[in-house]
Parts: sequence; C-alpha cells; structure tokens
Amino acid sequence: MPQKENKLDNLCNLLENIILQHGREAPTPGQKPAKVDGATALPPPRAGTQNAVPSTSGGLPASLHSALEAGKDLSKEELERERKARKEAKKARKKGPGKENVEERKETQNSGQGSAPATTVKGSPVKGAPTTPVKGAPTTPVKGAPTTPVKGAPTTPVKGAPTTPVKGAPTTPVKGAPTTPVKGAAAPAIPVKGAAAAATPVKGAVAKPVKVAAAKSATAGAAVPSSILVVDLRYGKESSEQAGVEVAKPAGQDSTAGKSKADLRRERREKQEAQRQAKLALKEQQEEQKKQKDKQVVMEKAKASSKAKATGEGTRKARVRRASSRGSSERKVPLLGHLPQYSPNPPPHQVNSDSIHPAVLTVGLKMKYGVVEGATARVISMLAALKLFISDYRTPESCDLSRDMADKLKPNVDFLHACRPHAIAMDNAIRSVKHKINSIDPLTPEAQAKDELRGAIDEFVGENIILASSTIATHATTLIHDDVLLTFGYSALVCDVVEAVVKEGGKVSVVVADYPHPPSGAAMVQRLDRLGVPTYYRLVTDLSHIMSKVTKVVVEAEAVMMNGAVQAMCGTACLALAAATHHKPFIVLCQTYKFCNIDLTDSLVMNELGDANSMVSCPSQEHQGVLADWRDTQNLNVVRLVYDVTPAGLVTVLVTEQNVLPTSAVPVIIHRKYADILGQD
Amino acid sequence: MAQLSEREFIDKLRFEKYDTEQAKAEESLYLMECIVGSVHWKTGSDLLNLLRNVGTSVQAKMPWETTPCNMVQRVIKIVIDEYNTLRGENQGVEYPSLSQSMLVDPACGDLPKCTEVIPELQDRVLEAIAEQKAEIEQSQELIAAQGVSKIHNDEVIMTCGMCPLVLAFLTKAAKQRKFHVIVAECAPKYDGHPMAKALCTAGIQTTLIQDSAVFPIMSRVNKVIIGTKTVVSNGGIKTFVGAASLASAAKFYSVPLYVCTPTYKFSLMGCEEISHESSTSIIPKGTKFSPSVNTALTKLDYVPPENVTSFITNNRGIAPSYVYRQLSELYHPTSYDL
Repeated sequence: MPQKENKLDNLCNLLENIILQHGREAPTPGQKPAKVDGATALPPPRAGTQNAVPSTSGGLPASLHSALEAGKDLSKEELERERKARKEAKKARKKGPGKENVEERKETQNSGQGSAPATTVKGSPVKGAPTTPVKGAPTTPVKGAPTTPVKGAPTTPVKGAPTTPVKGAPTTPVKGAPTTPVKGAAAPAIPVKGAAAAATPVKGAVAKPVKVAAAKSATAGAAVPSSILVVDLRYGKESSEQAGVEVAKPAGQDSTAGKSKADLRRERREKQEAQRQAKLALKEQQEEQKKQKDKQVVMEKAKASSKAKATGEGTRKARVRRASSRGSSERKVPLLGHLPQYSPNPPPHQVNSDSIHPAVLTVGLKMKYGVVEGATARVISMLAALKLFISDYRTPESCDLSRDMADKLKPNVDFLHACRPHAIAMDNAIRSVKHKINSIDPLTPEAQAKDELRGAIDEFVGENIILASSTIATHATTLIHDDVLLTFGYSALVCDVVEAVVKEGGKVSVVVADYPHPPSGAAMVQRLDRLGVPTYYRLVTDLSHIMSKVTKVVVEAEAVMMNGAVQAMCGTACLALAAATHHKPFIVLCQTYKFCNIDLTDSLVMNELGDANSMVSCPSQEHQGVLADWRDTQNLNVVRLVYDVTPAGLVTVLVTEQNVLPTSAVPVIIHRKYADILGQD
Repeated sequence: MAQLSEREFIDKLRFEKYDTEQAKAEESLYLMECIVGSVHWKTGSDLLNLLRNVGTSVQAKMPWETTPCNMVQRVIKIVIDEYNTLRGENQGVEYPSLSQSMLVDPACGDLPKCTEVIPELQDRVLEAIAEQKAEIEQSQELIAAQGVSKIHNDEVIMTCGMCPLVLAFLTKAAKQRKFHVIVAECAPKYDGHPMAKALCTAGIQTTLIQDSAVFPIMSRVNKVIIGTKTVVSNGGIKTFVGAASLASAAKFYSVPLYVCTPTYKFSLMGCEEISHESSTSIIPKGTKFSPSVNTALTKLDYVPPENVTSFITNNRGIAPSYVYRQLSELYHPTSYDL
C-alpha cells in the first residue's frame, strides 16, 4: 500500500520535526501529544470497531510524550533540514499575495502573544489532545476529501463538540463558530496527510489566529489548503494543488527568533484548512440534520441530549461512510435522539482478524436479524458463544490470563453490541463472566482456568435460567388455578407456567394479545394450542372487550428495574393499563438475573429503535407502501420502539425463583445477591 | 340530481361506499329532501312517519351507522318545529313552543300529531334542510378554525388513524404554529400511514409509531386529538379500534383528550350496543391457526366520558357532561326512541 507508506514516511518526518521544534521552544510539550495523536489516528481508519480509533490514539500520546521529552537535544543537521524545508514552503506559498499579507499581519500580531497562550495551555492540550481527536475522529469521514472548496464551514459542526478547547481558550471569541471547524476538522486532515493534529493545542492556545484564519478562509472561499502544499513540500514534494488560502506566513518571520513558533502556527493553520475542507464534504448532510435539529431543539433537553446526539450521530456517520456512501439515511428522531439508531447493515468487521471469534460473529448476526429473540434466548446464545471463545483462547507469553482475556473479550462484546444493543439481561451476564475472569488466580494453569470459566458459565445458565424457570413455574401454580389468562406475544416462561398449571389439573384458557410488528404471538398461539389449551388471539389494541372475561394478566419481563418498573416488549404496558382499568391482577414473571440497578421513570429513557421499514410495509393492502420513501421525506419519521416500561404502580406481583414478591423487594434482592457484580461496571 | 331511494341508500351504506361520515350525512339529507319533495304525503304526520321509517330501517340493518339516523331525527325535529311555527302563525299570537311542550309527553314515545294540512310546510321544511346542508358543509372549516386557539407552539400532539376533520384542524393550525405530531398507525386499518403522509406534506413534523408504543410515548405528549364516528348520549364516544387504550393511556398521564366532532355525529344511542365481527384480518400473513383458536376483532371501541376532556364542535367546545343538553337542542324529545 504505497499510500500508507507515504503516510508512514510523513509520520517519521513529522516526529523528527517535532523533536526539532521541541528543543527550540520549551513551553510547548502539549503540542506533541496532539500531533502524535493525529498521526497515529491515521493507521486504523479501516473498518475496525469504533473503539480502535480512540484507543490507539489515546494510548500513544503517553508513551510518545515521554520519548519526546527525552529528545530535547537537537542536532544541527536536523535544524538545517528544517530551515530548508521552511524556505521551500515559503516560496510555494508566495502564490497568494493578498491573503498572505493579511496572514503576515496576523502573524506579527500574534507573535507577541504566541508564547503566552502556549504556555498557559500546557495542561489543557495534554488533556484535550487525547480526547479531542478522539471525538473529532468519529465525526468525520476517515477518507476525508481535502479538495472540496471551503464553503463557510464555521456553523456546521457545532453539535456537542467537547468543550475542553473552549475552556482552555484564553480569548473568549473562540466559543462560536471558529473553534468548531478546527475541532471537528481535526480528524479528516489526519488521515489525509498524516499531519499531526497540532490543531488541538491551538484551539485552546492561540484562539485569535485560528479565528481569523477561519474567517478568512471562509470569506475567501479558497479551494485547497496550502497546508497540503506545505506538508508536501516538506515531506515529500507531492503534487501541489492550488495555493489558495494562505494560512501562515513565514516571510516576516524567517529571520526572527520566533520563527519556529510561527512555523508551528502556520502548520497548524494549514492543517486546519485541510481539516475544514474535509469537513465541508459533509456539510450538506450536516446542514440538513442541523435544520431538523433546529426545529426540535426546544423539545429536547438542551445540552445533554445534543451532546449525546453529536457523538452518536458522529458514530453513525463514520460507520455509514465506511460501509457505503449513503445520503441522509440515518436521521435522528425528535424526542428520541438519544436512543441508539437502527442500522439495517451488520457492523463492519475485518474478515480475517482474530479479534472477533466466529461463534460470536454468528450469534451477533443472528441477533441482528431477529433469529434469536428475547432476553433469555439471547443470553443463552451469547454465553454459548463465549464458552467457545474461552475454549479457543490461548494466553500469550508473559500475560496474565485474567487481564488478557478481559481485553480480548472486549471487542467481542462490542461487536455484539454493535449488531444489536445489549439487552439488560445480557449486560448482567457479561458482568458476571467478567467478574469470574477477574477473580481467577494468576497462578492457575491455563487449562484449569478455562475449565473453571466454562463451568462458571454453565452454572450461571443452569442456575439462573433453567432452574429458575422451573421454580417460577412452580410458584406460579400457587397463583393460577382455573383462570382465563391474558398474555402478550411469545414467551417461553408463560408457556412453561401454563404447562405446569395444566399438569396440576387447572383449567386454563389463554388470550394472546399480539401486535403485527413483530407478530410473535402467532408462535405462542400455536404452542398453546398443541398443549390443548383453549386459545384466543386478539389485537393488543382491542382488549377492552375481552377484559371482562379475563381473570389474570401474566407476562414475562425482559428486565426489572431497581424501582420496580418492568421492561418488556413494546405493548406489554397496554396490557398493564387494561388490567388496571378493569381491576385484574397483573403478574410479571422474571428470573432474578434480569434485575438491574437502573431506575427508569419511563420507556423513553432507555430503549432501542427497531427496524422502521417493517412498519412501513404494513399488512394492510390499501395503505401498504404509502410511506415507502419516508427516509427521503422531510418532516417525516417512522419510529419503532422495541421495549416499553410498565410503571411499578401497575404491577401487582412479581414472580421470581426466590419467591413471589412485590415490586418494592427488587432492590433488596439486587443488593443481596448481586451487589458485587451489578454494583461495579 | 337523480332521485335516491331508501333502498339504494341502505345498500350504499351496507357496502361502505361512503368514505367519510360527512358524505353519509349529506347523502341522508339528500334522501330526505327527496322524500319531502315527493308527493307521497299530505299532512305533517304522514311526513313524519315516512321519515321515521327511513330511520328505523337503517337502524335495524346497521345499528352502528348512527349518522343517517341522526340526520333523520334532525329532520324530524325540523318538521315538527316548522309545523308548530306555521300553525302558531295561523292561529295567532300563541307561543307555539310553550303549547307544544305542554302538550307533548316524551314518555309516550310517539311523534306529535301534526294533522293539519299546511301548504307552506313543504317549502319551509326544504329551506330548513338546505340550511342544515350548508351547516354540514361548513362544519369542517369551522372546526379547523378553532385549531389555532387550542394548539400552541412547540407542542407534541398525538393522534391515531385518519380523520379528515383532525387533518384539517392540524393543517390549519400549522399555518400559524409550529408543533410536532405523533401519529399512531391504528391497526388493523393502518390509516395512520396516509394521515402521516398528509401531515408531513403540509409541513408538519410528523412521526409514525406503532399502536403498542402509544403508552411509552404518551409521557412526552401534550395533547391527544382524535376524531370519532359517534358521540353517544352519555358523553362517551364510539370510534376506531384502539381508542380505548389510547384514552386510558392519556388518562394515566393526565394528557387532555380532544375529540373533533361536528354536530351531526351526536347520537341518541346508548353505549351498550357493541358489534363484534369475526375476522381473520388480524392473523399475521403466513401463519395458520387451527380452527380451535378464536380470533375476532371488534368494529368499534367505546371510550367512557371520564376519559374525554372536550368535544370540539362547529361553534364551540363542549364538555362531555354537557352533551345531553346539546342533544335536546338538536333533536325532538319524542323522537328519542324511534
């Protein structure tokens, strides 16, 4: 890959220059980590997991920072090289005279305060550096297009940009538009040129030149950043594109002692240019989304949600760009912008990488396409895949099994999450597995450790799922005798309960309420029918007429919250409401491993968005496909919620394997049984 | 216009040839115009009997089609009023309404005897029916005009299924207000889809959700606005399937529920009559149930008056507890049991 090699070359050269300059200017240690950040953010732009980008860039600055500080002594040769490179760059830049003059003026203005902000920001860039490129990276395409003309970037990437640079900025006018193109644009320039994201400390430090540069480039409407020019000339003389906007002028500075600072600033500005233009490649899409957001801004909680949206949106965009070039297909729904969006494509992964176990891959895809549905099934299949993963795991040399396995486990878990957001029960299972991994004594031999782990998983499944289900069925038979039950959709646990009751001799009929997306109730009806139980099938919205015949409402939960609220498939809350209106008991069946420490007030705080297209192709012939092009229609959103939360007040009783409980007992059970696992993360 | 016979009208009703309730109301008025305009009657009583027959036959065959019956009763009231006015004029300065109310006993269950032959009766009745027609045609605009006062900026409004009145209400309000509408699909007809399409083309920010998501999303909703098929005599409504759960969710979260109805939907019917329909339309495609499985789907859902906040009608909003008074203004007491 020649392009990669070039970039690696650039990297090396960059590092040299960094070392050069580091020796010249004492008070800019913060810049290197930033530069290095940008540089290192380049190598893994391929379709790895999102975490690859932040993790590598975050990991490196620390080590490189120390290395750089060690290399404070510069050799004369390096200095010479640098001076030559700068001269060349200056010549190339002389193409845009007018702008250059302005830039020069800027330079002289800022040379004075150049040092001061640089020093003051020492602390913040270091902090900001690892985080800003990280956040910047996801928001922009890795394959950024540097040749797009500058359009007036300033307003676009306002959303949820991390506020560290703004805070660090000694000059207030930074807050608005100017910083954002810089910030957001950090990532695109990186892969494009392999240039260091020295922009980061700039955001905090030299606010004014940034601002002016940004404003100027915006007004100038120049095409390609001269930064590309400069970099090319400096690092390999690639084809120079139009000089366009002048970022920094070394002309006046060549002879002065503050030259290196000016150079740095120049570099930074060049980089910003490139970044800004790359960012503008996304401008169209962002503007459209921004318009929608403007409309909805009042309805959403102000900062928190917009921040979450920005990062979520950024993640979404990055993934989209890697997978395929789609238009504005991923759109945030008002009121629900904080929920994970649905993507019809499986998450991108490398084919021959060994980070994701094939069993996990299979399970992930099955979950994505709905082959494996329901919390219990998902947990069981996930744990089975993890067992295979553990079997195939080999501890590398000089590594602790527990730590290394936990590290290797992470990408698998993340892949599953990317396929389909974890059910809360799955989170609990993963936590208990991790807990077990952590508690393995480093001295145990590998085979024994693996046996222990596999045994622990088997025990988890056996105890918490299989045994629990049969115990719940037994407990439920104390509550249900001759009844007409109402239930929702397909639930294995409810089937078990009905079987147990029938075995005891009770006369039970079951009304299955169902909703067409997804029609899980049909399978339930067929299974119950085979048991010989009289079954009724109704729409979940049509309950008021059958409620007079129903005596008890029984459902299975996906998770139970700490405050007693019950999360279940969307539609269960309708049953709870009907039960309350007609004064029937509402019984919830749930194994205790599904209890979790979150307190949910309503269903929209934590939820999942399902495939909206299945809703659009609705069963009615008359109206099918009316909204087929809903993604392109402005003002229109189609939302399909997967879960809903029944408030604790509507739940009469909770049947678990430990006992038949009221909802107020949930935190006690969590504390008693799972505090060590659920409390930590 | 060609003459419409009673039988034709009933057939049309039965085969659901009418799209909206308004069309039904207009057609039934037209039918009665034909009856009044014909020469089959001489006295007021004859006319009343003719009209009553129309009403009873529609009610017998399709008890849930209340709009035509409402129109019949409205015309009956018009006839009785005109008759009394004319008779009062003929006889001098009597106060016809006073004498009428003294002479008529609603419990006797029969229409008053209007035995005098008054030549102007036909013309006056036809005039009044024409006025009634105009009122029906204007009802949509009048209801829509109240939208601006009911909806404010940045509100989230929920609706369910398609109702042309609600659509007019929301689109008119959207010209002056910026708000967000959440449309529930309304299975099994799924007419939430064309409603969402119509709303978003009108420039309103719309979201389509599944019916089962009504309860979760209700916590974010400011108002619920729906249409209805019938307003029953106790102030409740009989409307599309799913309204009952929508209304209970609204009640749970204390969200006001507004019903857009013109006056021709106010009916003397009680809430006890329910119609069931055995339907296979709710079984998902591709699955087969054994015949022992009972599937059914109702035609109409009943929402009790406690769950309704207000009715938005032609001239003003009225509370469910005031419906009985509205009924006594619209219909004649003796026609309550046809």
